[in-house]
Amino acid sequence: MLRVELRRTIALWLPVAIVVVAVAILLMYRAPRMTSAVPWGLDSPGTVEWTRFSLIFLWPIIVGAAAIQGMRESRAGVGELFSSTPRPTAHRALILSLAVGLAVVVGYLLLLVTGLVQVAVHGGMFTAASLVSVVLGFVAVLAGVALGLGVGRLLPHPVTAPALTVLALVATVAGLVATQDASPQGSSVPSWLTDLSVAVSPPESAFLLPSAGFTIGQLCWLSGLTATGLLVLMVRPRARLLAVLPVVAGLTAALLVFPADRAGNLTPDKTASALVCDGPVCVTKLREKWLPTLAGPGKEAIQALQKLPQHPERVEESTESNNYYLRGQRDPARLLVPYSSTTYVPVSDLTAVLLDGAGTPRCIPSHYDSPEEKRETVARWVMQGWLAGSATPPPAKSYQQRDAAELMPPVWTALHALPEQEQIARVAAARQVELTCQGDPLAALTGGAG
Amino acid sequence: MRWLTLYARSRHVPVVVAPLLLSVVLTWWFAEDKWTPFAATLGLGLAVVFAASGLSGQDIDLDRTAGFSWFPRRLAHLLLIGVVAAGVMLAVQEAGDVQVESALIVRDTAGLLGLAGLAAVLFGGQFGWTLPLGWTMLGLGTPDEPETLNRVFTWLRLPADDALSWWLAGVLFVLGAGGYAMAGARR
Repeated sequence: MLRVELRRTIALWLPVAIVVVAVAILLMYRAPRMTSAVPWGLDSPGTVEWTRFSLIFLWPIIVGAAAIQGMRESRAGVGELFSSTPRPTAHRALILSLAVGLAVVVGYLLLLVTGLVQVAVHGGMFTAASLVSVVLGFVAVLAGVALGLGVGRLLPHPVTAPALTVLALVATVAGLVATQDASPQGSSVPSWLTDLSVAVSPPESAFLLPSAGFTIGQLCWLSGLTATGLLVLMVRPRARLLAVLPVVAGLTAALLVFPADRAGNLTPDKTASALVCDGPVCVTKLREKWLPTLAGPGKEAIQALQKLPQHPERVEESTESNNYYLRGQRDPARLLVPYSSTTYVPVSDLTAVLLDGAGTPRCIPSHYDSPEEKRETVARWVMQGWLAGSATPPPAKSYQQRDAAELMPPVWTALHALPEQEQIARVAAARQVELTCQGDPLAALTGGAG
Repeated sequence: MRWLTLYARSRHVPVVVAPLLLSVVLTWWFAEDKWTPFAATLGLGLAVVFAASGLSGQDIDLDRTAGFSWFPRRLAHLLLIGVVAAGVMLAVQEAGDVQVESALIVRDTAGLLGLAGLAAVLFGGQFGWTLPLGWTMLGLGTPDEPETLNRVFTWLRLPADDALSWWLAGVLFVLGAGGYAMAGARR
């Protein structure tokens, strides 16, 4: 029965469509490449989150395809014929939903397995906690199938499938846009509304997990939706009003358990962010393989920073999200280094990168291109060269430094003309400015002369 | 006149008009001052999507027994979709302060019509909406980058002086509209 159904529905095309579209999305967002802070296929949390992100386009496709299947009988005009046969409607509906559901699950599974096999090949880390997102992904695709089948059955019209696909797309995109609204007051859309969406933002941090409240809420809402969709497909027209019950119950339960605000949707992943250390150099458990690379340059950087009176004692991987618009966390006792900032840096340059700004994060977000950003770049660059003990100004390495190159030599010469104690005091003062983000680091280096 | 009414009904023309108009007007309404090629692509894409959901009649075999040539009729149907979609688009945006270039709208309409025709030939008339919607989604979701693959995906919202986008739209139109006019929707 199931085999016949698989062959005569569009079910077999679904996994193909899912994989093709998802691969296109991942390529477009550079998820599998090293440029992304949370790559696809290097560790299980990133892989699972990217796969869930691809639902933003996969989910409308799934809903639309299921709607086409759901209206098959009425479009073919066999509804009356079938209702006169002794075989119950529920039985036919069950096999149809089984076929479509199976196809969708296989498609999503193919994606996950492709990613996770790559994780295994790369020797990346698997965390049990990422299973939560796997489950959420599967529940979301099944809810899409049930919703499509149910609506297709209720409204068998040629415009239904495209309209439902468009509405599903509008819902996922709007949910995503509302959660990414970066204004300081937060989004104008209440968080419970966006929490109902199956779309998740592209992962910014591999160290954050869906929280318990969010997970349970989504499970309730999506399983309610699934149950209602299937009931609409199976029960007689007269009992259809009852089919609304599961989705209402699921929605109520979800609204009760959802976190109060959007920040509560994610919790830190303690297993992945546990530290693994080699002397004063520590990386997270997730990036354990990075430790041998970072250890040498990290120790060199700590050594070079000893020149300053207040210097960090440890190098630690930063577990902060990769958001350019936010000011990074800063700590005078630790040199925090994000994994993403070093992915394209050759090992020979790693020490220099760690010493940039005397081991502090930038205060002014990049991509801003203001005179202040240029001044900060030059100050950080001079601190870096001074700490590395170069005799001449170091060559520009990053695009920001190339942009600010004409400002650098006079500052360098002026600093090195001073007595050594004064040099130390000025670099220490500039480091302090970068740690507090108050004042102008370049003015601190040049003694306030600007 | 009677033939035209029956034809329009069998192609779901009356039911398709409302979603077509709504998608353009609503997109324009929501975009407000952000009426860019991005928003215009979305509105136009959706308009063609709805209009293209009736590219075949109830019974294709019966259609083919007709004593006249379907070629000009199918072509006219497809072109009419384009004229209406682009026309509504151009008319609606006149009401706002910002306008998207007319050349861009013409190019996008041609390409989307081609995709609709292609989908009808490949998958059947009731699936004419799939390819236009798919490429609109792809084009809007792909990040803006100068790489060729990104430009191919986002041709719908590239500036009107971009040669690659015109080539793509042209090829799609010739293939899709020509294929549909000659072969008709898949059985």
